Amino acid sequence: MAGNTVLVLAQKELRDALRNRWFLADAVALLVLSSALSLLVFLTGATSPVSGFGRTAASLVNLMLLLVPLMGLTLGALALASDRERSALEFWLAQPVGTGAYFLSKALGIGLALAAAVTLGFGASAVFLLFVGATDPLAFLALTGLTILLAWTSLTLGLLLSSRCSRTSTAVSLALGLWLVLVLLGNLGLMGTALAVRLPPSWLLGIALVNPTEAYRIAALRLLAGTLELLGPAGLYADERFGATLPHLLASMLLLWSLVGGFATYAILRREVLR
Amino acid sequence: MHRLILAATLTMLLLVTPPQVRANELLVCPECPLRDVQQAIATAPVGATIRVRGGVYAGPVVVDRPLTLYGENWPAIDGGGQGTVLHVAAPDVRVEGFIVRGSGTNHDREDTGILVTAPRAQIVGNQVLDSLFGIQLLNAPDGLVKGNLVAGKPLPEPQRGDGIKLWYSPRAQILNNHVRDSRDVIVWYSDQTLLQGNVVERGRYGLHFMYSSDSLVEQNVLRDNSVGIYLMYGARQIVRNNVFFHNRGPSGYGLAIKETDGVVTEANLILRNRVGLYIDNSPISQGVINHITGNWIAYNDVGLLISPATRSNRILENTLLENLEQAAPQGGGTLDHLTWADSGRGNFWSDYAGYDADRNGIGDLPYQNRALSSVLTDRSPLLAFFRFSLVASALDLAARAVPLFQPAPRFTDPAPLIQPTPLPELPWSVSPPSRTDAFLSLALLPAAALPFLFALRRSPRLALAEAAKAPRPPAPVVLASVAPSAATAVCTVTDAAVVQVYGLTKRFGSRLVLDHVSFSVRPGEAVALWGPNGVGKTTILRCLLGRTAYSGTVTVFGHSPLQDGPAVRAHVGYVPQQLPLLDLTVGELLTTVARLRGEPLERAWERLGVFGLQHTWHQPVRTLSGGMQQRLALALATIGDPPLLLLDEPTANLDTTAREELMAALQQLREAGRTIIFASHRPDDVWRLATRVLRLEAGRVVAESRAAALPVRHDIHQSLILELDADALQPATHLLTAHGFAVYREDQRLRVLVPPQRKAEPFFLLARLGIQVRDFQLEVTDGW
Repeated sequence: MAGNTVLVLAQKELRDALRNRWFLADAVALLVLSSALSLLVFLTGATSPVSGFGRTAASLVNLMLLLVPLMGLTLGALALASDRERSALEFWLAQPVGTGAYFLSKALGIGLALAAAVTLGFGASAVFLLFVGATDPLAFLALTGLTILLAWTSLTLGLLLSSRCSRTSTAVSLALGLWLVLVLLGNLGLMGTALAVRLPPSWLLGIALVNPTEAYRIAALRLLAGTLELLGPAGLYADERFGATLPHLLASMLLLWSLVGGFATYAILRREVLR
Repeated sequence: MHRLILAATLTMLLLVTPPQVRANELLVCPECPLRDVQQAIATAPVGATIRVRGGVYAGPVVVDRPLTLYGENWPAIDGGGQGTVLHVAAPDVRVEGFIVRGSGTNHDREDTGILVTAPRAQIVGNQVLDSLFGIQLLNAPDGLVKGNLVAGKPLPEPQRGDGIKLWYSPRAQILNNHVRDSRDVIVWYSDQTLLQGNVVERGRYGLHFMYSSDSLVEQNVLRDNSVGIYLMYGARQIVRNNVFFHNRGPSGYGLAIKETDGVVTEANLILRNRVGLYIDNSPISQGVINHITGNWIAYNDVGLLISPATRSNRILENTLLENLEQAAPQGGGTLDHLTWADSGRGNFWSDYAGYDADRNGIGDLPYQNRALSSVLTDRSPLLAFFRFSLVASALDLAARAVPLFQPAPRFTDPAPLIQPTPLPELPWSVSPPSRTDAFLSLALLPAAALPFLFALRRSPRLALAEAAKAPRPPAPVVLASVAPSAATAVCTVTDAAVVQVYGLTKRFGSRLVLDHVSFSVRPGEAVALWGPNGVGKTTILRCLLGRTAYSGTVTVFGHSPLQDGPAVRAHVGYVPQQLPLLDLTVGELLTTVARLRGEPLERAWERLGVFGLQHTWHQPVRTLSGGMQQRLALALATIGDPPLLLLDEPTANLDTTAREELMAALQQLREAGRTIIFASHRPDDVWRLATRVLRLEAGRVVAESRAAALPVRHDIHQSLILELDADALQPATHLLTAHGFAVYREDQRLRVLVPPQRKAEPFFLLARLGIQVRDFQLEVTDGW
């Protein structure tokens, strides 16, 4: 019954996602921008008899870094706070639904919606990129999976924020703040620190990897370029220290972030529900 | 035809007759009188040819006189892992068609497959395998090394020897060899070398020139080495039409030029290396110019990396395509002192953001390289870590927006080409990307749609929805027509109490909301939790649903709602004060709840009809009127026919008509035997629906009475609020209650429920007892 409950509610969440303007706007932006970028690669590559992972294709990683965490965080932030604000949380939990099943279905439904949006964006890009051989198909497929993991990590972080907020506006503001920290301010601080105290490469790498978006960036570059030499001494250190296992390691980190975020959210939500 | 027959006959004769040894030729084979190669050499006259047939021959072999060693059917000379295998110590020796293998591994002796220490040697078409050094020409000018396969020993790269080594061996020709898994192919102190058509892969330095000049390097493929070609300390080298592919070791240069004068680098393809072309302080002499022309430098991490001290390089008409960093000075500085354009033609830059208005093939704006993030990386290489991060892009954007922060350009190409230059002629076919992969990727698109197909899959509700489109009059509200479902059957409904609450206490922080509340509810009862707002009615309902923690004992159908929440709620229907404003349509909401409660959709559809809501199937819940929303809430609460209904102020937000409809429906449910517990502050709701009333005050049950004991007060529509002196509250309450009024205390006031024709009576009664009314208020609402 619990499994069926999760499926029924996850299905409802997917339908909700299709009506969610944030989600639709983000998904369309992802699709349009990634297609446009890939089209640019295609146009460059079509005039060239050689191909490879170039700066335009690398911009796709940048685009994903920009949009995917934003999607995940905002959708996650909206999910619980919005239900609480509209008394939907009370309504659903008055049904024969446990807190765990409710949370799992929420995460599953939105997670699937995010995965679909990412897959759609990547699918459209892949047509252009692979047509000119800008990347290896398997690497691109792995990148799609990695991006879905990033989306899920962002989603659980958004849910975590949402679990403590009673107002949607507060949750979304916090999510936007966290997004800014993850994709920009955190790195800006790290860059300043690296300059000021001359961090050893291992430290720079270690500190950066605390940030899940950085874990994604490094894993994505490793997948697409096949090496991290382009990231200078810290990249060389990462290659040297972890070798080919690095993308697996980073993907596991993202998965760990998702799981820890998910469990923390569930624990808070359960406490909140029984308060 | 005759000629063909003749040729065939001669061929047959040649094949069947024993080998004829011509004059000046010796034959060595395992079955021949001469079985030892070294012995054959010792007996051969100068200029002889020794033909060696297939088989394995022990090394080492030393050729100490000019002759030809010709292998037939790949004879192998095996060094047995000791020393050098074949040593050519005499001039004018030709070695062809041998497998030479199994040298020693001593670096001091430089154990080699084929060692040449004499001029004019010709090493042609051999396979040199499992040898520390492959082919060495030491002080062996005018040598020819052609068409050989050299595969190094399976050792870690630092322990390998060189595949081909030229040492003080000028005018050598190294042609069409294939060298793999060795250390370097080195050309040291050897001028006028021709290297043509070779493939060198998986080594350290593909070709390593030191102190060698006037060489021509063309049509070679250098791939997967640490460095493709390193030119050091020489002069007048020509490097053209070569392919440098994926050389990505620790230094990782495609082509590197260090302190070398007069290099011509033209028409090469430099692809996917860490650094495409590296120039370090070349040329080193005054008045000498290096030419970098017509190359394709594409998809490298850094296209051109040039030390800032480098001068006198003409970098013209190259195509720089999609390098992650197109061109950079090594360690900071600028590259402005190099020649980036001549006669109005510069280079093609794939990231050029200008335009060509006059359509002359030259960009109208110069190409400038001035990214702030790159400048920072030049100064602190550790910051390369932030490449392709948003912070790097943001810095570059900020620098462009605020000129104050914009660094000086690292170089300027004043005449960038709009179109790439023609791809050079190369010894390497550029295979087109797989179109199949591209089309297979289309499979990702339907994969993306799968979750939504799952969400929107066809279900019975679609059929029901189609039915709903047909106009039909609203069905009468006849709840009894809905027979109990299977869900009811699984619930244990006995005469025992459906709900038992004992000592229920709930605190929110320091605030006591429920204080040892105890009651029980038997099947078929309709129990009202009656009292003013904030008295704990909703909290009791939440405790019964297992939606909040509490102390005390609560059982619903014998189970604890806290421990068995979902199981308990499966037998409880809940009507909130207001249905949440969901984005779902009525149909979707009904379908979801029906599936959660295991009720067939057809039955849920009938239930919707019972509440007169079938026509709202496609309507979003949020667009329903308040009355319809509450009817829908009641319809949802009855899905699965739960034996117990909990209602939280169900009529609070309804107008009179809607309220009347809802109360009628609830009365029918009660009469059908449904157990109901409802919270309300409206006396008429209480009197109309309740069979028993629990009066709550300050979180406690202060009174409990059967509904029959309550006066029937359908006509009460107003409450009189009297403000009295504190010591008059108690006697006033007794007095008014004794005269049949319902009286409730609110702080220092009394709320008296009055029928319309008795509004003045409390005043007379109080005045008769000498109780002064300080102030009063008449509310049109009918109670709490």
